[in-house]
Amino acid sequence: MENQETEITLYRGLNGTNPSSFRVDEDGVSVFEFPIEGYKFNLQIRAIYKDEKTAGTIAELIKPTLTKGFAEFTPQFGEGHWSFKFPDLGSFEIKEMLSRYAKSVLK
Amino acid sequence: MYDDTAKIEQIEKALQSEPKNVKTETISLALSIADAEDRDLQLLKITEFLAIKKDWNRALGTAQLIESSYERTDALHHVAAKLALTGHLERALWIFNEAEKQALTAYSNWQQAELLQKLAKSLVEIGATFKAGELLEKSVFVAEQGQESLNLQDSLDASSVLAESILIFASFVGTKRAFALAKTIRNDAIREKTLVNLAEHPVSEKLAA
Repeated sequence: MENQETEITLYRGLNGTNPSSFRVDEDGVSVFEFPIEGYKFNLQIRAIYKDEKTAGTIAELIKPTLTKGFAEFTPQFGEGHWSFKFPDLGSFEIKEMLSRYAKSVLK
Repeated sequence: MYDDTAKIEQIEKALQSEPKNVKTETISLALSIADAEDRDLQLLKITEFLAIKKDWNRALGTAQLIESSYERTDALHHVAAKLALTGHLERALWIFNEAEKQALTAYSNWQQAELLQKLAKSLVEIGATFKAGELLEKSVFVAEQGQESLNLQDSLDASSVLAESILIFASFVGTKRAFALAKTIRNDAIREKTLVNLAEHPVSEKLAA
């Protein structure tokens, strides 16, 4: 199992694509391993992690436009929950970047 | 499917060229953007620019053209904050009130609570602590309602805003009430973290009388 790569799709439910659709706090942006019902869109982001998945596992975001960040498996916040984190960016910049990405794939 | 890329680029270029003011044509161009979200975002950017240039009437007029409650609140907030910083307190407070009304019509509870919290933070900065306390109380109430959502993501986002608002609200109501509010956070991990934060940074003085 060591160094085995697993590719996953993470989902963020969105009712729009503007920066205001993304909630950013000190733990990052909430995303899930499954699509979330009740939203106009489910933004999909692919990521890769190595070895077995446990709390704290880090996954690399595949999209070149999002490589400033990573996803951390954070099941303490809920079933299948991951947190997108962008350590060098402020909340406003994170929202803007994710919004640009959402517009590029959903519209 | 709309392609407003050229219009958006033209507006961004117009604002980046640091004109003394925004031409009416630039506002018209923003209004001609077919996609409502993109249109609102460009109108928000123009409003912010006009507020920086202290062109208050046109800034307010542009803000009123924004359809989405979140972006319109953001725009009004920007104008009010800039007005207050330049000494126009009475007018600023009137716009803060308008922004508050708009905030309460945003789509999700967590967005409403987030906007109310943003407004409250700006009100603290200008010394309007009584009004700030009122908005924080509303932010806490709306976020509490939001975390009852059956939608996992919405509920979690509401808990996230609630935790932040409680930490700020602690300065107004004291640590004891803040602890009681923190215990209502639905998500276990966020609740525990907030209780630790409150324990590490106790607040004894009230900001608002």
